[in-house]
Amino acid sequence: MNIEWNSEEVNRDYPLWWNKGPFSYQFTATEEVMLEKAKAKWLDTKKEEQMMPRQRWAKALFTNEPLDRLPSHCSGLHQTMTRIFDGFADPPSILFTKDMINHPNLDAIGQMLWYAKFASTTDMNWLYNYGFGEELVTRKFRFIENGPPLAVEPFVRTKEDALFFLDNVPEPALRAGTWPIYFWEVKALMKLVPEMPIVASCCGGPITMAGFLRGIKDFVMDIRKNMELAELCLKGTTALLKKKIDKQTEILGQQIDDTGEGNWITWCDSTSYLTGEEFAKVFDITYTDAIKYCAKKGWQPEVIPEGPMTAHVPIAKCLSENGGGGMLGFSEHPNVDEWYNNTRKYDNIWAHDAFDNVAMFSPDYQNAIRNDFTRHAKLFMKYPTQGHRTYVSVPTGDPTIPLPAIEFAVKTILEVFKYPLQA
Amino acid sequence: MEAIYTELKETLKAQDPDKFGELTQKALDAGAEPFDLLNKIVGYAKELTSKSWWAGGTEGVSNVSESEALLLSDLIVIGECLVKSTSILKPLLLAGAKKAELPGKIVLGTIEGDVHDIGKSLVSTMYESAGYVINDIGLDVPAKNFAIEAKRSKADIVGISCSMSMCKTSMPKVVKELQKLGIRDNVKVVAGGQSTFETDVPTYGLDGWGADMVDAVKKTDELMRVLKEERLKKGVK
Repeated sequence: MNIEWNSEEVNRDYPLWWNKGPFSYQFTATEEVMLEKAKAKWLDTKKEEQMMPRQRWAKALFTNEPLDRLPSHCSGLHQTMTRIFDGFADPPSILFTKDMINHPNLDAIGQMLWYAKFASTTDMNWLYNYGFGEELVTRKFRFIENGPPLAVEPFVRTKEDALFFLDNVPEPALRAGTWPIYFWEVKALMKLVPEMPIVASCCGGPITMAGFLRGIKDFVMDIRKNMELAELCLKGTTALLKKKIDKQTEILGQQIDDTGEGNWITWCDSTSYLTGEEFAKVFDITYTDAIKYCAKKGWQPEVIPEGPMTAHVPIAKCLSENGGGGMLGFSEHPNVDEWYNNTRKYDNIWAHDAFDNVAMFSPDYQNAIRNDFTRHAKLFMKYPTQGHRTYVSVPTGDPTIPLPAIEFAVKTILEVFKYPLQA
Repeated sequence: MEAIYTELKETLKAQDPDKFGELTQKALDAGAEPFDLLNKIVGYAKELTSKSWWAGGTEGVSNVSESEALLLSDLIVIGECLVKSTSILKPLLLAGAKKAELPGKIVLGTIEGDVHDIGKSLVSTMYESAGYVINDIGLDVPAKNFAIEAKRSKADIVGISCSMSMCKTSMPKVVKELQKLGIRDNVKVVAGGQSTFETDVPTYGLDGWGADMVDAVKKTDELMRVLKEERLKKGVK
């Protein structure tokens, strides 16, 4: 078997619009005007608030001092980012994800407009690496017009394939594909808005990537019937995650601290397709290793799992013991109270509460979202200083969430999490 | 027979595809009608999957507790159970298919960008057992291919399966491609799948929508009736 691991070689039939670089995008004079105007508007919204974003983040995460509102990130992720340009039309009709990938400067402008419109306090910039590494772990993938990469052909069909992958763990693609553009954009935004910390998410985690490496259906069946193969896949993708973490660390540098300086790196993993029992089987193979590795690298890992409480609790414990203060992402859990009570006992956990599918899929999504947010807000008030330091977000990138629900949630989060609720 | 049905239901809950296949055969051997058996099995699956992780109510919380909620992993294995079962039932359903009152040819596929298969396969089986001739063009099908296949096979109906909201934007493209090839007036377009709604019919220029596989056949029968009347008026065979 002879496979060269880079996206161009692995995916010889990548579409014509696939971005091959070189990545030396400059803003035009007109684009500079748009960026300047957007930044001015964003700064205006900040003047009305008690504190600037870096200060707010430092207080929220390190001191538990009272705030006028929680920090939030509601950044535009891949397909939703395009909607800022067409007034959140559903269906989108003007720009598509592929346009953003072809023109990252356009996406940077979109991000700036988003900050201005929604008064962001950080940017969760993972537009281009939200592909979960399909370009690295599949034999073939392709982009669809209005969404993320689609894994077409998994790499691992046999134990030999898995062993080959483990012995030849690829380097993150830095010549072609989405990662170089992603790095460019992170750097551009850090320069454009130094007043705001940037969150750079390293997607996906070992479980997500193992799902693509093997094919989700076969991976799930392996966990149930062929654990040896599942374990090999997970070891391979954990090794790949470490390589991605190294690159992110190299580019972003300083971890955010109590002065509010620095940025941070997260890794997110879609664990939601595993049951609690299945997750327990794979936890030690992957998560303990990855969390310890992050801590050793000197940054506090934010892990954003999606899935059952039986997955969240051991992660919280592991972060608390090894990460020296990590963040636990919350997403897709249908019962907020249960989640909160089960994870809050661990020290140094920053609870990142990402509101997701359950409310947004409700036929009466407006009421559902408002109720969901309000319930969260009340919980935060009830336990303001114990264990959890909290921020809130709307993950706008789930390809299956109805678009109007995303827009409603982004607006509502700002309204609900203001601190008159504290009284 | 009731004992076998109960065992089928329990096996689906226990998520054992091989045993589920064996029990399907056992039910047939005991005299179950293939069509009734398929309906029962799909009914059990629907009941079970209503407890999925994502089943949210208007309060924004799930109607099911974590211990009883089904994750994607469960749904995948339940899907495998259905595949085992339909592979046994399909030949029998086709052999016993009544001659359709409104025989029609259907081009059926999952829209570009989407690789969901189970729903489409079930609908395909239902269509076939209702007497339709199915040209299943697979998963992740570009809009153009729906139209090309419809023209080539002189189809009456184009069936689009779509389970991801971001892929819905490709549905009107199918309609446009049919127009481009000059066959839009002679073909009805029906859609279904997790991310589709009845309101998509006017929004995306479709002709019909099926809430589930039974409804899809019902709506398609209606569309065939309309199509025949239209052809009659135009003097087209």
